[in-house]
Amino acid sequence: MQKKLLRFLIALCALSMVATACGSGDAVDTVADAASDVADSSTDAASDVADAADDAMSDDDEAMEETGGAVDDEAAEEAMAEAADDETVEDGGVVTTSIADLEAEWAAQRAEIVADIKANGYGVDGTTLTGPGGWEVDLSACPSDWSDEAGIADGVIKIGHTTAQSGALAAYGNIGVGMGAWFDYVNANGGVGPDGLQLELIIKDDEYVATKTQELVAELLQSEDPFYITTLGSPNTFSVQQTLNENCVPQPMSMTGHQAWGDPENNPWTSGLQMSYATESLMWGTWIEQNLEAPVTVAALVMDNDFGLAYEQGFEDFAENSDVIEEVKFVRHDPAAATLTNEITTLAAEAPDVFISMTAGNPCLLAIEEAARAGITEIADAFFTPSVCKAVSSYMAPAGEAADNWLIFGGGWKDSTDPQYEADSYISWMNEQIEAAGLDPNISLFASGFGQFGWAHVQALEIAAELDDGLTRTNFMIALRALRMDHPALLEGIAFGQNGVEDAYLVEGSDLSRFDNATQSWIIEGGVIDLDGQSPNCAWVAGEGC
Amino acid sequence: MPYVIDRGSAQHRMYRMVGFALLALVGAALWLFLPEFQVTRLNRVIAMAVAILGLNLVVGFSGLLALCQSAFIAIGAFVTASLIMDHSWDYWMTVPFSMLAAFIMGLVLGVPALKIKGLYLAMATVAFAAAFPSLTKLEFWSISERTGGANGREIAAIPDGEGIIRGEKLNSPDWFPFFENEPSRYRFIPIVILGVLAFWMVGNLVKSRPGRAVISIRDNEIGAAVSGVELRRFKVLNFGLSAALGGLAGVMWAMNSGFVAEQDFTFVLMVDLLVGLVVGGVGTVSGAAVGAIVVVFGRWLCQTYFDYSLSSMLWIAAVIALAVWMSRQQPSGRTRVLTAIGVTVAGLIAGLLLFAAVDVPGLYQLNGNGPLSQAIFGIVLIANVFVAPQGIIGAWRKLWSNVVQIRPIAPDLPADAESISLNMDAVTSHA
Repeated sequence: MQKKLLRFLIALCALSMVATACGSGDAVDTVADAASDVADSSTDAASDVADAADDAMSDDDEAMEETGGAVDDEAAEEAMAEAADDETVEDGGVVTTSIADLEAEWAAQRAEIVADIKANGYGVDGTTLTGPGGWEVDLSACPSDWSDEAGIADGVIKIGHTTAQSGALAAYGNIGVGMGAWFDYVNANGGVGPDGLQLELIIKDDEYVATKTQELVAELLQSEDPFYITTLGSPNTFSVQQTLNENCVPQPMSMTGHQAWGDPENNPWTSGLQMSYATESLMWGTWIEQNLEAPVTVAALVMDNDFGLAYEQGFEDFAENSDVIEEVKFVRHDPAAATLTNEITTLAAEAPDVFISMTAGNPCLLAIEEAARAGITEIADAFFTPSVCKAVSSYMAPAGEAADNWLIFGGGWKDSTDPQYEADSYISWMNEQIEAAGLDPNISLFASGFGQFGWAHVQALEIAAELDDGLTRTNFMIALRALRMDHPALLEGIAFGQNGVEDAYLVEGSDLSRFDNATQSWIIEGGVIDLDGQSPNCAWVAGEGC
Repeated sequence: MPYVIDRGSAQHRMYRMVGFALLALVGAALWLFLPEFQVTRLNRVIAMAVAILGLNLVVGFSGLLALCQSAFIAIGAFVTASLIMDHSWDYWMTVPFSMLAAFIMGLVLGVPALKIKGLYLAMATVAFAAAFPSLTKLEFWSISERTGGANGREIAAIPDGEGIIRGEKLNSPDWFPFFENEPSRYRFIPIVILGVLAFWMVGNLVKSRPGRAVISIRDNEIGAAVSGVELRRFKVLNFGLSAALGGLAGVMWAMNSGFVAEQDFTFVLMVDLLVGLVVGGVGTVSGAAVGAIVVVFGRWLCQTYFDYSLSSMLWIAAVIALAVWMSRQQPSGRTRVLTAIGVTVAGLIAGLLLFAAVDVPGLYQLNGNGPLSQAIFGIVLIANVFVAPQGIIGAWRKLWSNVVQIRPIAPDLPADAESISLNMDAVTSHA
């Protein structure tokens, strides 16, 4: 009896594994939103509540310190007030410059960076690597068999990537697929640099399990020795950060919005791309302070993982120091939850003035639908959906009427599924390319891998290839630390750049948009918020913060 | 004709010694000759094996369907990380304490296990395992600070103010001049010592009086009670012991990876453990080790060599169909097993060679969905359940009994043994 039961169970388990693997297909749509996590690397901001200067209190309060590494809240306040007064960005900031012209522009910007690097003599001198913004790395600590040219052979650059392709967060794996599609495009159009190097993306499935990320990174390092390795997920990125830095292997543009990646002094080989999640929390708080009267009750739906909890932490810290926000109610939900009815009902009982959805993936859509059903959208003065949910086709359109008037700090990214960007030359071209690669342009994660991450990776590689000695790991890191270009998927006015130790975050700005159900588009309110260079670096210690 | 050895004879002892020596030799060879990154996996295999062993105590030996071993691993791993990082303990010092923490938690859960049975117990324990990762993110009593919350906690050297370093990864100490640059090979040593100790102790336990008492509870609870087995005590202690082994696995996990994160210990891990248990062999000690190997390396093989490819999945389906069909043609059970395993292994190896040589278009590129390695692994597991229902160890014992047979010896009976045997005629006449 027991044995039969077990056999039955095991078959069930095996079947469920099959279902998980196959199911990720259906989940894609929904999960696509999750993508947005990465995609929207948006906004940022900074909620450094623990603004060390002004609160002695925070010394006693470890939780408050956790959010360090984000923008100073006064800077954010100022920038947001300014943006509100600015002229509104019209037509969603559509750019109609042809792709050929854009490519020429990018080439010109790259040439400028190359000239700047050469003029300043950045590079390896003896065992010291010098880069922009006072960035220095001691190469003598690298392993004895370390090679600057590793990962490049026979005209092919090997690039490693660990991501989740199975399990509850399998949809994130689509970012890597999108990035691979951009690499294929580059390969088909002459490759990278003067030698036309071809890009080979080696993707490994870590199931979003940190231990497996470690194993796979060790495997990549010891078997393929790729030029660099890019990782997805905060815990996963943390788990291999030390290994990669000790081995002097670049870990660029990690697909997570934790603030810890902006630490070029202690972890010179690691970088992020998105702004910290804490920054977006700060923007919500600042918006509430600037637009609503005390006392404000806030209800927040939080995804119970590294991503949602970062939002929660950031907002909690802000609210504690706020005179306007009187009460905040957080309710956490399981990332794999099929419905959110219980959670939203609990939140609705608070009769909130502001509702904030701090989630990703399919729950983006569920939150919008359920909030309308529970009547939250009638009671509340404002309701926010997070930047990672900025995907019309996946999360807004399916909600119908319920999606009307939702606010978003969208990270300044143009939503590739928003019909108004059909007129935008880069977005429309990007969607064509994605389709040509056999992928579905309605899944916004492909677009974020393709047009946001893929683009950025290739620009840094192109710059490095033009430097003396050509494409090497050190040149690539210099290029990454000096990168400053107009990202075609970002709204004009939002900087995409960093500068060594002085500015360790690529994206630090956002738009504030309102969803309009009639046109199925994001309507930008006011100007863009730019906080470039405002985030202090973050030397992260687990349990203690920056 | 199989070669027959009497159990307990000098020959039998020699036979066992040779077996263990071979096993040690294979282990040492793997340890020294596998690439270092595979030794990391090997270390995880040992940790998983100990966890499965613990699960086996409850599921296989005492017959309670408790599915929360993943939570006990998490307890062991988080307690280890917190003691090392927050209290500057050494790794070895955390072993008893982590086991104790898991043991106490096991006792607490074991008490309700007295009252509920079968699927109801499974439900209750599943709930605990599924909820546990969320519990580690709570902010009460600074739990999330100790566990690292959602971002995970790294066990690594952190300079503490005045240059004092607290916490570090398990690397070879100064007095041990080997494997300085290959930490996984060094970590293998303490991990394998702990693993061997656990297996040795459990191996003896299940043969001892308490072990037999536990098994008797599984086979017939009322019968066991009538024979004087104290059900309550044995059930709860067994539950606690199983949890302690989970805790030990957690320490080994933390030693190996030096990084603990809640999302490593979700219910998916529990499914892996359960799969390992059944594939290896329910109710066998050595099955735990085999199951752990299959779960860790089998999955890796599927991911590495069969990833993305629709063609490879079709290939595997064909191999399994062929294996089942061919084994049906065989006259006896023994040759059926043999044929099925032989054809499957040969087919998979042929597939590996074929797909390594030929570049086949993958399904991944066709529709943009996730890879099918999990599905393939799942199919292999389903096949395993049908082909070798007793687990790999069960099937192996069956096959090996054709080569060597261990013959149990009847216990020595007293000289007047016959007189104490029941007089059946008398019994029936009384009735």
